[in-house]
Amino acid sequence: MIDYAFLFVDEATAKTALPNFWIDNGDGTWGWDASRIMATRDSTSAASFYGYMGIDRWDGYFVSLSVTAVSDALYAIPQCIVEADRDSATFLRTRLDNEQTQALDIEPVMAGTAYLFAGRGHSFILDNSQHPIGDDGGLILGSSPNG
Amino acid sequence: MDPFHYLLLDGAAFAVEGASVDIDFPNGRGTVGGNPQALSSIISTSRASAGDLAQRADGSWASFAANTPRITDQGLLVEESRTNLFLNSAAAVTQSPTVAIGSVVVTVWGASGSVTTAAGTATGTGFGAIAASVTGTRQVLSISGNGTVSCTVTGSPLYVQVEAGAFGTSPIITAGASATRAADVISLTGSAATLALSAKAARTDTNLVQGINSVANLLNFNGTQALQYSSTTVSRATNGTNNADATIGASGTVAILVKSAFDFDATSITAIANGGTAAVSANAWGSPSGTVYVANRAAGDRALNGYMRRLILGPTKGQFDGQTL
Repeated sequence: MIDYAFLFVDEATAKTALPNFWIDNGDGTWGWDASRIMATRDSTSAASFYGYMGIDRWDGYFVSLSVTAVSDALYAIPQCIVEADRDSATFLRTRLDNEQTQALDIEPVMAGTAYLFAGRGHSFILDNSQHPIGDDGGLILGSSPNG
Repeated sequence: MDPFHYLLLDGAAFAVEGASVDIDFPNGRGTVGGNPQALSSIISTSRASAGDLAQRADGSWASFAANTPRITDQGLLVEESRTNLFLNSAAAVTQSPTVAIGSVVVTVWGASGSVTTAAGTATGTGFGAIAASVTGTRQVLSISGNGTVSCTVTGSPLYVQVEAGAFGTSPIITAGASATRAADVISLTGSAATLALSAKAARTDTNLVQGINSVANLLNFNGTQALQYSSTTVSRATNGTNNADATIGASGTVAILVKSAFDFDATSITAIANGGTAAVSANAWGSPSGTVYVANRAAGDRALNGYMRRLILGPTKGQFDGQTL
């Protein structure tokens, strides 16, 4: 499986960029394809998607997408920050610099993954409006409250 | 098993006579148009996470790769997406996961061991001791203030899970970070999908490990038609409107077995549950089209959150009267 991490300004931008994964249930309701997508929902949902940078805070709407093969089209989306191979637990392509890559911590991850950037020791922060910044200065990547 | 016995069981003999589609999930077999077919050619599965579990009847757990159906001798497990906030969940040690306002379920599986929860920086109610059990012992916390929940581990439970939601789901294995099990999105494929769209009768058999949770789909015809559980009923719905509700009794008990039967055509819809009284409405079934989802719907929500044991479809209204499967 190939995992892609995106950081969008907001949910509307994410929907526009990933139209094939915003699903019509056929009864007037829509939602992300939960079989392949983890997305920030709102600040009160523990199932929201949170990530941390060791240095910089990145606000926005964070989406993780898993597909079966490398997709140049997905990586070409400017907001894609990481393309990673789950089997080898490595980055294939990234728009992060080395310092950011070393500091990246994403949580949660899809079950069954073993990426080094998962749970690397930054303090767990649910909501930047209600919880302190990590001791190491780690700050939220994504997770816009009420986003 | 002797060869003769195998031949009897492995053919189409198990299938209900006249069924256009008959899937016997616990035994891993199915027929389409009366002909045996491998389940892999009858259903399609999308679930991006890997190493997800489903429990066997003897209490042991089977692990499944991404995009494979979670089928054991209990049936096909179909669940919504959930995240386990408890780290190293298969080698549990005392820790304090951070939770948010709302319902949070703590589950402990295993032959021994326990977890005792208490408010950390979070506020709420429902804390206390949870003794492990093979099928999982659940504790529902009502969290009124964001923060941490202290989880003190005693002994060696098999799995521990802390998840946001009103009900618990199957174990999600975590390591050093919380992990998300993606939703199971199951759909019929090929001839089975085509025959389902023209079906006029259906029967289902389910094992609801956690009881009925709000609206849960049994079969969803791309949203335009659906056979589903709703609270304590089975029903057929179109665009959210229930057209025939048959009471199935109390929900919420672990391991509820529910057998349902449906008839539907241009003149009326009938639903029966657990051999009870038929509920009939004069609404037309309509003409479904598109993808036919099993035990969920397109986006992966409103899942059965339990095991689908048997799914039978037929072309003729009334052909599945009665409840014996």
